[in-house]
Amino acid sequence: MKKKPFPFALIIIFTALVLVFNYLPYLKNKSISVLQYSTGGISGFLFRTGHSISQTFRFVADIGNLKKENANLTDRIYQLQIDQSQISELENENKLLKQELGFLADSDKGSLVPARIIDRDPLNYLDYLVVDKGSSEGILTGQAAVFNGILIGRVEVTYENSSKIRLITSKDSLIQAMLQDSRSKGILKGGNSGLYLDNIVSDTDIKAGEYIVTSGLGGGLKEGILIGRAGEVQSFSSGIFKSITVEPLVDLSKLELIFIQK
Amino acid sequence: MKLFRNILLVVLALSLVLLDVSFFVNFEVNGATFLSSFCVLVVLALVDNSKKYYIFSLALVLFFSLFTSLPLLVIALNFFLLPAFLNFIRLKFFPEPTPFTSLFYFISISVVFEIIIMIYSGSWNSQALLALLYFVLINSAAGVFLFTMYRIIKKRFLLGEIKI
Repeated sequence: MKKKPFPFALIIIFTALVLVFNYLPYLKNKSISVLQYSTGGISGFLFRTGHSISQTFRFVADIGNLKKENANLTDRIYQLQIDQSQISELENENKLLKQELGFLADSDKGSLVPARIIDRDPLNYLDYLVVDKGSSEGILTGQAAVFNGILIGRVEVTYENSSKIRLITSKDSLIQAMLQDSRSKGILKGGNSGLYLDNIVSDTDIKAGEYIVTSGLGGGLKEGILIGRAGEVQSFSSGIFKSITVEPLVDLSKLELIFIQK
Repeated sequence: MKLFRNILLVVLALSLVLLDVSFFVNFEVNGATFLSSFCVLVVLALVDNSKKYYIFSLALVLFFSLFTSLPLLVIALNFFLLPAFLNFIRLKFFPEPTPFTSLFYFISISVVFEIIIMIYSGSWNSQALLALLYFVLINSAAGVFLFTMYRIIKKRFLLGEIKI
């Protein structure tokens, strides 16, 4: 039997392509941009279809918990109504005080650009996602990605018609954050074991369920974007600092549409 | 014909990568998803005797290096060297795998695949081990199913050896 020739030429071409794409970032970004532009429609359709099917399965699986969840949500609505009335009071008081002190109008909170998720990383789940808005829509690297006003990540790379969002749950994500009430600052880190706020000064008094927001330090993200709730004290990394777990307010696996804060 | 077959393998690789990053990623169970491209690659490594699946394997390395955030080394290890090693072992020791031996291959290769990713991400906690367990379960079951389907189709249509 005649032995078939081994496809050396093709293997060399492919290996060269892989190496070139990986060691020449410009070329890599350009190819990703072209590939995502040409497959964006199919990817978007596949993602939406997959998302709808998975949500239907989840709904069926969660039916047993709906009653309990409904009761919890009703309680929460009452609590939020009380909070809302208190916030309105504080808002009015704040407005009056600002006027008296001669402060300028509220700072610019920026505009939101809605973006659909078209890809996720199946090998590194909850690491990053790709959305269908890019530099042509004015998206810039470092901008915040939010859902319902809650931070879910930041733009890491922008292509012409798509952007890569590094999620806050990624092990490579570092966000300057702070506890909303105590104003103690720390660094929000992700990873497989969940979110945690590190480098908090150890004498900080942390209330259970206290909100964690961005601190605005280091530039990039604006101050005051909601991230999650404080969980339990995890460890004392040294005598000066401690870290706490952070309960996220958004289920990142259920997202379909997000907003980029410009 | 040869060129057509190679183009077909590259298109198949791109389609499966797109399916993985856009469709199957929605069906995540404890951090694990079904990787259709990986399962098809292992099936090809189990049935191909002439190393033509290398084109498919390299195309996967290329597309995953563009679509995921993992470093090239991890992708090359998982999608090229690992299946190549499996193909070598298979040809050397079990030239005609049955669904039972394919299950053994799938379980071992999925465990190594996930351990490589765990080493890269540096996470050795209960959540990562649970993800490993589910990844192995999902992908081994799906892989054996694909392999059995291949054998049934091969028998039914008497193709002898499917030319890939």
